[in-house]
Amino acid sequence: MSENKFIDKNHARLEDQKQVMEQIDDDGVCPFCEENLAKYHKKEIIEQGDYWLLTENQWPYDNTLNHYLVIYKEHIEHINDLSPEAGRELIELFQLASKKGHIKGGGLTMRFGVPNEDGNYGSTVTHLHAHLIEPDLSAGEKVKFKIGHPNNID
Amino acid sequence: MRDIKLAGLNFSDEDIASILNGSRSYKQFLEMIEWIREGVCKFCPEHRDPKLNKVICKKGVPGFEWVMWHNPYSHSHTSGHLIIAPERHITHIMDMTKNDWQAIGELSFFAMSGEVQIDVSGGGFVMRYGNPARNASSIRHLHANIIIPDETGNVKATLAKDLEKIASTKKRVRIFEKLRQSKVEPGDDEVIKNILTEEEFNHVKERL
Repeated sequence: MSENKFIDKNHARLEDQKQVMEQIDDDGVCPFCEENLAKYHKKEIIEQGDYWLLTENQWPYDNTLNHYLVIYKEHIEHINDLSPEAGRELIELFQLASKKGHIKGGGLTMRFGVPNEDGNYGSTVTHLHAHLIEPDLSAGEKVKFKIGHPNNID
Repeated sequence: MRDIKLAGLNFSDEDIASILNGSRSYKQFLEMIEWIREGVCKFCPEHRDPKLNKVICKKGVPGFEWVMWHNPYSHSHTSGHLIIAPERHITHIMDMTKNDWQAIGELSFFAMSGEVQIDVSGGGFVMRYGNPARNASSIRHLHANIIIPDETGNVKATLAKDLEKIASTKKRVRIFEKLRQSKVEPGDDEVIKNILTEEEFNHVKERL
């Protein structure tokens, strides 16, 4: 587990990602809050909305053609905290990314909430963000989105 | 998908992909063929099974309503699995308007209110869209899943299957097609044993 409550290093997949997560852990900040984002996220911000920003995942999942992130600008962790207007903008950004990436099909995914001090639903960063994922079928490999894993208290 | 042939049926690649994704059993295979042949969408209100997909809430402005029900086929290691879907038939996020998220948002608030009798303090929101070959879905009618893990095991939403899984699924569907051509009813294991080779029977015996 991380000392930093905004992240869970256990879910980092790649070596350079793990190094960045270590830095974030040491800094004790939320990497997706606007004032910190540029320090850790090196991908272009494709679109800024009133509530969200659209960018590419710095560490896309294996076997994907496209992997965009839509990050909420304020620090929230639950979809309960979204207004209908923020939801409308989220859909618009998904549509923009879908058009930009010429995406024929895929998944919109979002983890929300933090179950308890020692648990996690699979997020590396708890700040609410959504994924737009287009699998690369030519890879012939499965693409799965983690939502939950066993509580690691035991 | 061109390597899957269904005799007498002129189905599109996307239809075949839906059948591959949704035919976990011979019964489901036959049902999916009938639904596609008749243009039936099981998530459209006129064809939805009210016992299987019992709507617990409906929200949204007229023409853009969405409904919610408990998924009768929930994943393992979950304490809750809700489906939310628009009443009108759309298949892609490009078909969505701001009114759709308004309805999704209202349904999410309803889910969080405690009235659905599951703890939705955290979990995952998953919505597959577009070509079913690219999202592993069996129902093309746009819908979202709200999945609540119970922290007893891994929970993952599949967006694409690996080659081994795809090959196994295609083999199963070819066997189901052989049974369909023989006009066998699901569950008639004795007749099925006479039609299939031993290897074919063993591949599908848990799914008849």
